[in-house]
Amino acid sequence: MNEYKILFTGTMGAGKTTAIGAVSETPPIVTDVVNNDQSHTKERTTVGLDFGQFTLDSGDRIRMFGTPGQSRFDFLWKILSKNALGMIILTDNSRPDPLGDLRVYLEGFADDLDIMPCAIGIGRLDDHPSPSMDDYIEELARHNRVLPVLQVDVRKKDDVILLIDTLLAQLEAGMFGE
Amino acid sequence: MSTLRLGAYKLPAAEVVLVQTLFRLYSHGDTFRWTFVTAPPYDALLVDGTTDEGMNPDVDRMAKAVLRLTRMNSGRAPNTLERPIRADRLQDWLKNTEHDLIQTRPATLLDEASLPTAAEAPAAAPVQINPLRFKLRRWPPAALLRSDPNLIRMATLLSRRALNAAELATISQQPVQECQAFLTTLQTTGLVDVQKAPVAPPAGSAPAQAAAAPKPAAPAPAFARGLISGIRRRLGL
Repeated sequence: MNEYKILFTGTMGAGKTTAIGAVSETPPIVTDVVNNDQSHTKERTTVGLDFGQFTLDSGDRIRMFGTPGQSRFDFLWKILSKNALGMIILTDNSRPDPLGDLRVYLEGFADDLDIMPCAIGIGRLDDHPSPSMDDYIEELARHNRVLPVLQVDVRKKDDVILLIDTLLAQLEAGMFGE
Repeated sequence: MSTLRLGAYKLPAAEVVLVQTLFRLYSHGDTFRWTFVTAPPYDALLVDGTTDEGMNPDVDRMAKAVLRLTRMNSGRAPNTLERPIRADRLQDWLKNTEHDLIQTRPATLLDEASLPTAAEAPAAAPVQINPLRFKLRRWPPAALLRSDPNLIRMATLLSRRALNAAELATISQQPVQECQAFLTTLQTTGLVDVQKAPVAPPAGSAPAQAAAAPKPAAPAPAFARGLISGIRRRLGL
């Protein structure tokens, strides 16, 4: 049996835990504690990591890890991203500066993003239309990145699956002709 | 009744999608004679009048009539259309242009019987498979992808690797015509860079064929392919 890893990262409250729970075959293991970060109203937040998984017919397991949202835990990001199949960056459009949030992750994972498949999921876009999808695409272009940018509701399993599918497609493209 | 062909030249993808949508709406009447096409010849062309490329005189030689999109509140000059595109103004221009073109017996006018309706045209028009490889230079706007998982998958593949329509069809498992149509849309909207493939060899030239044919999808490490298909199966994809 082999184990593979998919990483979910993004700001506090972006829905990493919910996204993992949407596709995990077991309730995600969460390491939430009471939030004392006054920049955010969320009552509880992840300070370690979240974990969920699903098992393939072959017996192989796909493990999904959610990073702690706050950038002060970026030392954990590096550890978690090692040997991951891919990474999903979730953003919360209701936050004051979602594009700035995205920049934090694009820069924090810059080395990984040169190789690792990645997709961006934008949450709460319906209620908070600015910045727009095009603004995100433009922000990525400023970082010389062309990555899938999808509007998501992480409570919906299909939305999370579509994000994962874009990671798989990137892996396929990388293997083509080899 | 004859059909006229409107094309778009390096317009933002969202506007191309908007015009295609408007054409579907216009075509519900019996009198609409235009079809939106993604390849020449054009009777009329819609271009971005705010760019140097759009103002290049060469563009005027690509069609008998050219409509330039201009900035909001830039004033209404002949053969210009202010942004955002207004359905009634575009329709007025098409009607006037149709009248002018018919008066001058346009060479590209085709018999209605030989063409599908405007709504059917994009799907029904014969598609030429282009051997050129394309790579995405920018993720397409949501209006172009329409939350369609197949289009999103195709765009994702092109974000990672330059592919031609045949290769894209092989990996995405979509019909090659759909892949070609998608590539044409991306090219029309300036979202892809072109990577030239080797020139096609004469028929029957085996070594040349081998050299020019798209690189086949050689088996990748079996475990990787098995892993991807296993994940897809597990997630119901």
